[in-house]
Amino acid sequence: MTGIRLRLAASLLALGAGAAAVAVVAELARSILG
Amino acid sequence: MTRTRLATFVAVTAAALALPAVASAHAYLVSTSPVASATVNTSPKQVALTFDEAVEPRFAIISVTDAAGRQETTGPPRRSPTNPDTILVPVRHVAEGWYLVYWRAISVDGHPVRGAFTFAVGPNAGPAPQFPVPSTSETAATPRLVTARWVAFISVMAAIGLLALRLGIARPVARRVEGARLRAVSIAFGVASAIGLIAIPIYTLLATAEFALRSVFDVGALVPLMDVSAFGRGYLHLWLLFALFVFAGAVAIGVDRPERPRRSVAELFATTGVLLAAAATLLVPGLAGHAAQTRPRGASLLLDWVHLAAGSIWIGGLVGLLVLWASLPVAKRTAGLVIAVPRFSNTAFVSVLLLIGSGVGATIIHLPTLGSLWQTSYGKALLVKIGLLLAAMLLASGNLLRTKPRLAIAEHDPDVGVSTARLLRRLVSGEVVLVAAAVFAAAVLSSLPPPPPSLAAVSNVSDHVGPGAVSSVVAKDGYRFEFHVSPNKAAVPNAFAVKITRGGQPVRGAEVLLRFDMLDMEMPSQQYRLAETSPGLYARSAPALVMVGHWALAFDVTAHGRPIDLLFVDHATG
Repeated sequence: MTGIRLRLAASLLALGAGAAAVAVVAELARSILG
Repeated sequence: MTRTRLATFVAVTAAALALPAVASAHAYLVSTSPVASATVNTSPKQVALTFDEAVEPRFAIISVTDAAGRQETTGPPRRSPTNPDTILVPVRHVAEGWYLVYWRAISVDGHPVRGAFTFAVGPNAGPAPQFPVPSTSETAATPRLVTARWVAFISVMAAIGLLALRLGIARPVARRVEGARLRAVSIAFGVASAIGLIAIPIYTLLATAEFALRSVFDVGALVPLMDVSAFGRGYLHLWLLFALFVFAGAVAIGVDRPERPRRSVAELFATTGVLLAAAATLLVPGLAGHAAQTRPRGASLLLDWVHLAAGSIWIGGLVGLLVLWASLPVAKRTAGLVIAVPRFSNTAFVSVLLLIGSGVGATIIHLPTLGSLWQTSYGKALLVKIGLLLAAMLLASGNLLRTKPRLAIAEHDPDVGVSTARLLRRLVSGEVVLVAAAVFAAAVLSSLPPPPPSLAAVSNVSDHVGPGAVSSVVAKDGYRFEFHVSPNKAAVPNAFAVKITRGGQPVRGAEVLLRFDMLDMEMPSQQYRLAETSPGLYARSAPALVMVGHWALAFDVTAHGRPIDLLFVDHATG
């Protein structure tokens, strides 16, 4: 059970990393494209 | 199905030959104040240079000197508050006479451009002196920068492609072949990621040092410059996003259970994170490069993104296949390849089509004329890239048409399996080398100045000449014209001569007018009459090529009462 929770927590972190990447690139695009 | 695919492949490849590959550009000077080679009546308060896109003021150098070489500027260059594409430098109140403006700028995509022009303060400026002009040629295509850029890009692309192979294409191998593991592909992903994470900041540091004309060891001064310049900021973002992608990728590999056919919720979350981070990472080169400066911006960025994504899946998948080939136990190799190769071939086929399609689209946006493909060094580098990709595609078609069907047979015939696996390794190794070389050609290409858009505006060109001394022979209306320019350098007097003959005899008494039009920026035309210095030879020395770039040299010849027009496009260098 702990293993499943750990895997789920890690995957949520990965999903968060992906979402953060999108947010960062959107901000970069906004600053460059105006 | 295979024939249809092959036909599509050939058709799209042929189209790519006509109009291939992706482009990246340099800033062009479009106007100056004071106007180049013109006379102004009062001392200007500032010198303004307007480019076709934004340039980085912190890297810009503008010097204004008089005939004695005395510096007349009173402060550093800054961006115009009213136009982001204009750079201004303040100058002191200057006396009547001629002044040389020498400038160097870095466009926001990180390409250096230099130039020089003169202007006069009148009304009695006198004759133009011969200014000593510093070198006006500079390129970002230095071996060090190109190599660093290549390492950075190929490692990022390979990491993305390797992860696609590990999490998608090769995943069923671990389930369907007993004892087969994908650990080696995961390690290859780790190695490519580590190289990318090291190479991106090193490239950014090297490029910033080159653009700021500082030592690469002057890190204390370079890091703030990286942070404030658009180029540096773009690449620091690339590093951050790639790091997020690597983190998400490592988690996705960690939670993956390839022995289970269906993915768990955790696996789906992690894979979604990977896809988002990869998509964001691949958008940065376009945003930090010329794609974001080229209209239509949306289409340029999309094409750049598709080009990079397709290239990543191709090169990373190829490297992954080689790693898989080497890591599978000999007894399991054929069984593993039977699963992985057809899946990869299908993906690679779509990737190559997208790669070609996006390359064609980007070229249509960027190249002003089809002729500039073979008339400019940029176009020639593009042809080298196409040639390498075509050779790689030939090998890829070998995989698609030979290896894939033979692997299907090999499932039941182990002897065929051994020879097919060997053929596959050879073909894929060749493909990896060729695609890596094509990425290198792309790294060179993005450092060269692309043909100026103004080339599309001139038609009926008799010949493209320069850089360097010109000697060109053109025959028209029964006359033979032998045209010479020496030394064909900007901002110094050049000797222009044309020898006109008809039936081997010199044509005497002709009227020869030569008009100069700057093609890279708006400037008034200049026209000179060439005097007959010996029978049939018309010549004149003039400081007409006042700046580096492309010039339209239009001859208006009247011989035996007949008007004849000739047009040369000249490339003058510093």
